[in-house]
Amino acid sequence: MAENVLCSRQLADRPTHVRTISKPHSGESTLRNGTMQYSSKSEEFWSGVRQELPLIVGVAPFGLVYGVLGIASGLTELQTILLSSILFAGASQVVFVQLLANGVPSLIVGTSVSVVNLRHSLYSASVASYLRRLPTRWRVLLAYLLTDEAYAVSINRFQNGDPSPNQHYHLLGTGITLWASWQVSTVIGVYFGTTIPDSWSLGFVIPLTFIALVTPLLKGKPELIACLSAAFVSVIAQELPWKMWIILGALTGIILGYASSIYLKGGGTN
Amino acid sequence: MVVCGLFTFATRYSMISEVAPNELPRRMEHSLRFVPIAVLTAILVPEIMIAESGNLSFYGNYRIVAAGIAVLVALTTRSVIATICFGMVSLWLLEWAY
Repeated sequence: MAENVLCSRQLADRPTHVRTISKPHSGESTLRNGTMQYSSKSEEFWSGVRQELPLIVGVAPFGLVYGVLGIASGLTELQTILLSSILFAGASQVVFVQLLANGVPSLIVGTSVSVVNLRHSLYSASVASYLRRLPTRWRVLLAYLLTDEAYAVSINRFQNGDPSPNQHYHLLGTGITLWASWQVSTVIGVYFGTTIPDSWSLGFVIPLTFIALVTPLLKGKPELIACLSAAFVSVIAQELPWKMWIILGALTGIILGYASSIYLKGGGTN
Repeated sequence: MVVCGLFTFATRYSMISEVAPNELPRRMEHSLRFVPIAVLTAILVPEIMIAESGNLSFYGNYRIVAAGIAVLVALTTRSVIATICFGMVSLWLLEWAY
């Protein structure tokens, strides 16, 4: 069981110990007969699941909040629950039901949701080099499971772990864990959510989750510049419709982060 | 609803599909390292700083204080659960105390 204790700490330890992801099976991944042994499929999958578990603390309350909003917007229980499987994107589902509740035309609802989710193309580009060799059915499945929280955990494993040919099982593990907890918490929100008082401020768990994910990534000046500039732009661009400040702030952060890493050669990410 | 779902999927699939170029330029590859930081920050900071009215709010905004505590906890413990728990509890205490 000592192994499990290690694993639950992995997410936490990751930035300082580059190879933490393979820690529980470091015995296997060291040199043996002169050849590199990579982590197996199930090791990858379960390490993904375990690393995703802490994030449920943040995702479950958000699912509850969404369940409540869905019913309040006039969707039926079934529609609210189905939207969680079809869209499977927390923030945009909230946007969807809020616009719907305000009688906004469906074309605008669709456009808004799409703009809110544009950031996923950045995630997609970011994992692309790790997944491109997989067969289509794998890429379709993983694309469906690619969310903020699963991406944030798995991209760390991709970038810092060993280059195992089974590493896509890690994203499968994080994705499925998140998917299941999102569906369950939506259902609970739909049927029992109205009993949760507003004063609990459960919505606050989302920014807190993101703080927990971003903070350990701020290892150098370029990262800090990316973070601060993204924060600044996303706040001053609040007047824009469709939550466009997300993509605008993100692009600013990426560009300035990259530019500064070139400028500050050596003090950068590598 | 289904259209939204399909579009969201298409966005996520876009870059790992066959149509995408096989080799990204090195520069782009390198700049993608900043994706998690930039995107998550752009979502989280407005959540904390912007009041429901849509305006920036500093005075009496306990979320900023609670978020500050959460950052410190995240830096020291590097644990997701601890960060969420400390952040929520500080928000509740602040709201209760004032």
